[in-house]
Amino acid sequence: MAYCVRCGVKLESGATVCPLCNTQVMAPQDVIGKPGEPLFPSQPEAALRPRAPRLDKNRKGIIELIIAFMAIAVITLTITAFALDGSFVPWIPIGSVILGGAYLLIALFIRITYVKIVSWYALLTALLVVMIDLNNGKLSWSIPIILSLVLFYLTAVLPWALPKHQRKAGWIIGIVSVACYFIALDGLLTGAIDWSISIAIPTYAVVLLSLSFLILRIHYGRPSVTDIVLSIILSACWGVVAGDFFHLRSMGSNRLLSWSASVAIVAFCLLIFLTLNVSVRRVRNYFNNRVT
Amino acid sequence: MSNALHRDELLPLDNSAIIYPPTVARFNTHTFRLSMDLTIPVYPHRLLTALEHIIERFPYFSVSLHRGFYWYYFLPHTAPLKVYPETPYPCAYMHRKKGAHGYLFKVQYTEHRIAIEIFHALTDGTGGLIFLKSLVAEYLRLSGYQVAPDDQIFLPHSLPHPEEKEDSFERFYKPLKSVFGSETAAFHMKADDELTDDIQVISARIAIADLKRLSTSHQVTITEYLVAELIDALQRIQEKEIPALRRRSPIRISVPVNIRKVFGSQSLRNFTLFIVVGIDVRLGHYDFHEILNQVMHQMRSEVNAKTLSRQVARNVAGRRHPVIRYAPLVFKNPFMKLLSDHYGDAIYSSTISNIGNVHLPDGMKEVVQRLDFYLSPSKTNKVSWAAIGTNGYLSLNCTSIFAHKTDFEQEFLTALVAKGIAVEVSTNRNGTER
Repeated sequence: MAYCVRCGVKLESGATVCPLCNTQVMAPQDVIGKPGEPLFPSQPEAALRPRAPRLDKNRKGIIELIIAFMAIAVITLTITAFALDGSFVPWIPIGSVILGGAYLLIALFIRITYVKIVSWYALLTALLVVMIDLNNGKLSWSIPIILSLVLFYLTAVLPWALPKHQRKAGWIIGIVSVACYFIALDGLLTGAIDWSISIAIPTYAVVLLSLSFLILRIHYGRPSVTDIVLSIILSACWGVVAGDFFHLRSMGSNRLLSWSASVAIVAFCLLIFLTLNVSVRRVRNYFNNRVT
Repeated sequence: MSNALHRDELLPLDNSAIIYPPTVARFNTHTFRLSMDLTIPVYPHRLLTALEHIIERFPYFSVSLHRGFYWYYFLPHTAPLKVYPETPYPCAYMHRKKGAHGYLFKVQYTEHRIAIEIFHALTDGTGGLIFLKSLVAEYLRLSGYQVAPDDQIFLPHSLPHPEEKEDSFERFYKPLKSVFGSETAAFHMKADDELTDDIQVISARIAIADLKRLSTSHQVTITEYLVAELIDALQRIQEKEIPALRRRSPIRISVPVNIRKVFGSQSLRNFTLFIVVGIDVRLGHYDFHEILNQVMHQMRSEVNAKTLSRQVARNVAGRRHPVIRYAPLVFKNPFMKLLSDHYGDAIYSSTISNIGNVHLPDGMKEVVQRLDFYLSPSKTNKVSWAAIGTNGYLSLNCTSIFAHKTDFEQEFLTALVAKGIAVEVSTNRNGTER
C-alpha cells in the first residue's frame, strides 16, 4: 500500500492515483501492492442502472405550482360558465390559461436552446391566434399572422435548426420563402396576384442584390463596423427607392421617382462615400506596401 | 401468529418522513445505504431466504408508498422479495413503484457484502442498522453460525413491540407557541464542477483509538471533533472562494441526533432530529480551538429533552396546522419542494451523521469485517458525510454529487493526517486507477 506524497493519506492496495488530489503514485509495484477485493463493485450494465429523475427539486416545484394554478383557473372558469347558464362561454379563457401555462412549462421542461424555445413559442402563438380567431366559427385574420409566423420560422429558425453542412440550403429556403410570403399575402388580401409581382418582389430583389454586395465584402475583405452599418443603411435606401420606382411603373406613371427622390440622393452619397472609402484605403495600402 | 399488518391497514408517514416523498428529485434521492463486509461468501438465494424470514419481524418495513388526497401513506406490501447485486454508486434514486418491486428498501449483495439501501421515509439510520443486523444474523444462522442475543438483533418469529411502529413525534409532542423560526442561509461550496446523478464516494478508514486519543486531548467527543474539523475545512474553502469578508456566510453543519434514548422511545421509524452547529465567519477568522469550543457548547446545549421538544413541536405543529392539514396534496407538494430548502438544506453547509461504534455480538463480530454507512447528498448541500464504526475502525464516507471536485474531502482528510491520524482512502470515482 502506498501513501499520497501530497495529501499523506494511505491508498488502498493497488491504487496508483490519489482520489483526493489525483497525484500519481511513483512507487515500486511491491509498495503499491496488488488490487484486492474492491470496496465498490465495477460499473453495472446500463440496463441495471437505476434511472434518475430528470428534474431537480426547485424546477419540479415550480412546474407543479404552475399546473396547480392552471387547474384552479380551469375549474373556476368551468364552474362560472355553468353558474351563468350559457351567457359566458369559457373555451377561449380556458384555452388561454392552458396555452399561457404551456409557455411557462416549456421553458421549464426543455433544455433551452434558441431553436427549441423559438420553435415552441412560434407554435404556441399560432395555436393561440387560431383559437381566438375560431371563436367566430371560421378562420379570417389569423391566416396572415400564421403566414408571418411561418415566414419567421423559415428565415430566422430553420437555418439554425439544420446541420451545419445544410445551413446554406436553409438560407436559400429563407430567401425564397420571403418572395413566396409576398405572393401568398397578395393572394389573401386582394384575391389575385397583383402588387407582389409588380412591386414587392422586384423591390426585394434590389435589396437582396445590395445586401449580397455587403456579404461579399464581409466574405472577402474585412470591412469596419462603420462600413457594415452604412452598407445596411444603403440597402434600406435602395429598398425604399426601388419600392417607389416599381410602384410608379405599376401605376403607369412617366415620372422616374416621386417622394423617394431625396432618399435616392442619400443613397448615392452613401455609395460614393463607401466606394471612396474602400478605394482610398486600397491606394493608401498600396503606397505603404501593405498587402490587403 | 403472523406479525404482518392487516391487508388494508393504512400506516401514515411519521412526522419527519412527510417531507421526503414530495421532495424526491434529481440530486435529492433521500436514501441511505448501510453495509456489512463479511469474511464468508454471500449467496443470493440464502440471503433472499434470510430476508423472507426476517421481514416477518418488521411488518412496518414491508410496505409500499401511496399518494392520498391529503398526504402520502403506507400500505402493506406483499410482492415477492428480491435481492439485487450491489451497485457502485450508493444512495441511488428509488422509484416508489418500480425501484424495488414496490418496497422502499433494497437488499444488495456482492461476493462478501450485504448492503441495504433505504428510502428515508421508511426509517432512519438506527432503524436501518437494526434491520441490517437482524438480516445478517439470520443469514449467519442459515450459514450455520451461532449468533449471541443482542438488543439490536430481532429474531424472525418474535413479536414486534407495539411501540416499534409508532410515530414517536406524536407521543412526545408538547404544544408550544412560535416554534417556526428561520435562520439565514449558510455557506455552500461553489458549484463550479459538473454535477452527476451517480453519487461519488471517498471512503476513509480511521482507527477509532487514534481519533479517541485526539478528541480526548481536547476534552470533546469524536462527533464534536469531526464536526469542528469539517467547519474548519469549510472555513478554509470559503476563504479561498470568497476573499471579501463581508460577502461570506455562516458555516453550519447539520448533525442528526438519534433521540430515542433522550425520550425513551422504541420506535423503529424515523425518530431523529437535526442539530445545526456552526460559526459566523463574518465576525472574522476562527482558529481551530475557537471552533471546537463553539461546537462543543452548541451541541451540548442542544441535546436535551427540553430543547429537542421544540423541534418535535415544530415537526408536529406543521402537520397539524389546519391550512396544511386540509390542503390537497397536489397543492402541498410544490410548496414543500420550494420551501424545504429554506427551512432545511439552505441553513447548513453540510451534514455529518455518526451512528457511532456499533456493538456486534459474539458469533457476528468474528465474521463481520467492516461496516459502512452512506448518506445521500442534495442539490443544495452537494457533499455529505456519514460515519460508522466497528472492530476498532471508523468508516467515514463522503458522498458527493460533484463529478470531479474533491476540495472538501481533501481539506478535511489532510487536516486529520496533519494531526497524526492515519487515514486510508478508497473511492468509486472514475479515473482513479486501481
